Amino acid sequence: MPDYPTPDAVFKLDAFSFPSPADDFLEPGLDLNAHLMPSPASSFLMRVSGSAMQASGAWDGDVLVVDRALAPRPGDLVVAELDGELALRRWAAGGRLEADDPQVPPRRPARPELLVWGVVRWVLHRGAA
Amino acid sequence: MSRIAIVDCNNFYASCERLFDPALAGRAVVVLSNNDGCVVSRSAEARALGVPMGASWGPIRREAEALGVVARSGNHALYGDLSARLMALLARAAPVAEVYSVDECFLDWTGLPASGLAARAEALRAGIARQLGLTVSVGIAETRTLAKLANRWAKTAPGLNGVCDLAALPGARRQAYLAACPAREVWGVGRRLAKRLAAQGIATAAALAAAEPEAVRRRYGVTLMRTVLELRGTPCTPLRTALPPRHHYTFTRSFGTPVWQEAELASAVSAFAASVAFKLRRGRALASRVAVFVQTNANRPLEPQYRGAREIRLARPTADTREIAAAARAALAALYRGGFAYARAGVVLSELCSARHAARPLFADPEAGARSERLMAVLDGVNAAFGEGTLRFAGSGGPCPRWAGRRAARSPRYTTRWSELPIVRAGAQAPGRRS
Repeated sequence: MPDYPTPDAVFKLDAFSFPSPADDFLEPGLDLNAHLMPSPASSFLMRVSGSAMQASGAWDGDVLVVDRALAPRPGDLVVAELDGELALRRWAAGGRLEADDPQVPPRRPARPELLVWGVVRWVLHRGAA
Repeated sequence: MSRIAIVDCNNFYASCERLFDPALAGRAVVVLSNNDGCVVSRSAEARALGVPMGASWGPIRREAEALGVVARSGNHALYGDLSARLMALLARAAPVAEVYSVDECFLDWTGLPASGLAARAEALRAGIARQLGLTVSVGIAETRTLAKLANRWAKTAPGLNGVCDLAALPGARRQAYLAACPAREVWGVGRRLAKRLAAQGIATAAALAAAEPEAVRRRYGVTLMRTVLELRGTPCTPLRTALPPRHHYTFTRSFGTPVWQEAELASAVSAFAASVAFKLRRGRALASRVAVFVQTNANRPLEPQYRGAREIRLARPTADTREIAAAARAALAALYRGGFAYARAGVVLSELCSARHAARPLFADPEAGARSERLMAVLDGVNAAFGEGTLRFAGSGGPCPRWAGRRAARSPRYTTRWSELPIVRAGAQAPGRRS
């Protein structure tokens, strides 16, 4: 049964109301939390600052759903620890950390897996203002 | 054969601070208590520099900062959230788990293949480091008391790598460790008990394990006897699967600056009453007694000292902030003495009963109870949705009262506030940022 909030004054008295034909087919509502974060204990929300990763679909002010439990695969967006900060990069083959903006040089660290804070599962971009 | 593991986090608060701030990696970090009073957590680097645990921060601050120590004010919203995540992961690691404190959990591993427990603990350790960025130590033994000692050994003995399965060690090695462990370090033995034992010639865990249980029971009580039996490998304290009911809810704070005026003290006590009433409601309980205590700064013995407490019994059990705060203010009015610099106050709720099973008094207005519950539900709901302190009663004073504890350097509440999410830079390093 979908858990939509209803005002207190709305009652459904089974003894007097007409049974709904939908009663046999009710399904739970869509659960966004479970969909975006299948591993809630290791999932964290972060905010993007800057526009060097727009080509990958991450704009300034977007919210990232980052999962520490995932191992990065080539093409994944990752959050990495670079120069004492959390940075958004793409994980390329061979452990290269690349940015979309050509002004930002790619990095090829000695132990790339140690620098990956987590893998970005979703980028949440606002539609309406 | 019983097998208990205890998992606990190394330097928990300091480690939480590091998770979202890579600039702190490798640095000496300390976390301070309420009011930035004392050091309550130290990173390994801070410990190596010699910062003592529990030290008052004021006197050592300048020297510590000159040595490169970074201090953070307590960020309990963050620590509590990371603790909940840790416990969720640990709950999946055993058929029965008992959360013992904010960063410790007992796991019942009885029945699992005994030879593989160390490997299981290492995998758990790696999994938690990966998923939460926290380093844990695991101690495994036949009893909880021994597991706690194994955990201590896992942290300090070289070559163990954070995991110690005491039950899998040869007897001679276990005995050697127990002989090297002071009795004071055994779970349930405090400093005073250790002194009494030392007077009797029992100075190590091994000596305590060798003591005659009946003699221990006669002289020190059944609790220490159970400790002796546990040190010998006989479990006496099964993991708790149901929480015992609480007897008190408390809210106590030290003031950021001394409070002299009655009105200001009353507003602090009202705010504390509101906070403790919230905890009471969260625990689904009602209280019949409200106690207030106030005290001056005992660390300044040259100043006039006063400490007082007063308890008020309510006409009927309640969880309504208005009634509890009114009782707290009435208690304070009886307690207050002018001319003292109050440094600390607290509100304690007791004589609790369950909100679900409360008996309805004969002459009470039934509607009033329901209205009170709905009002409190709205109050708690708004504060949960928009942040603690969004809605408060006027008697509690403004949002940043003078008496509120100092927290000079609290990190953002990264995991519980939308406005304080960690920032990820897409692009070049921010200008002016130190590498």
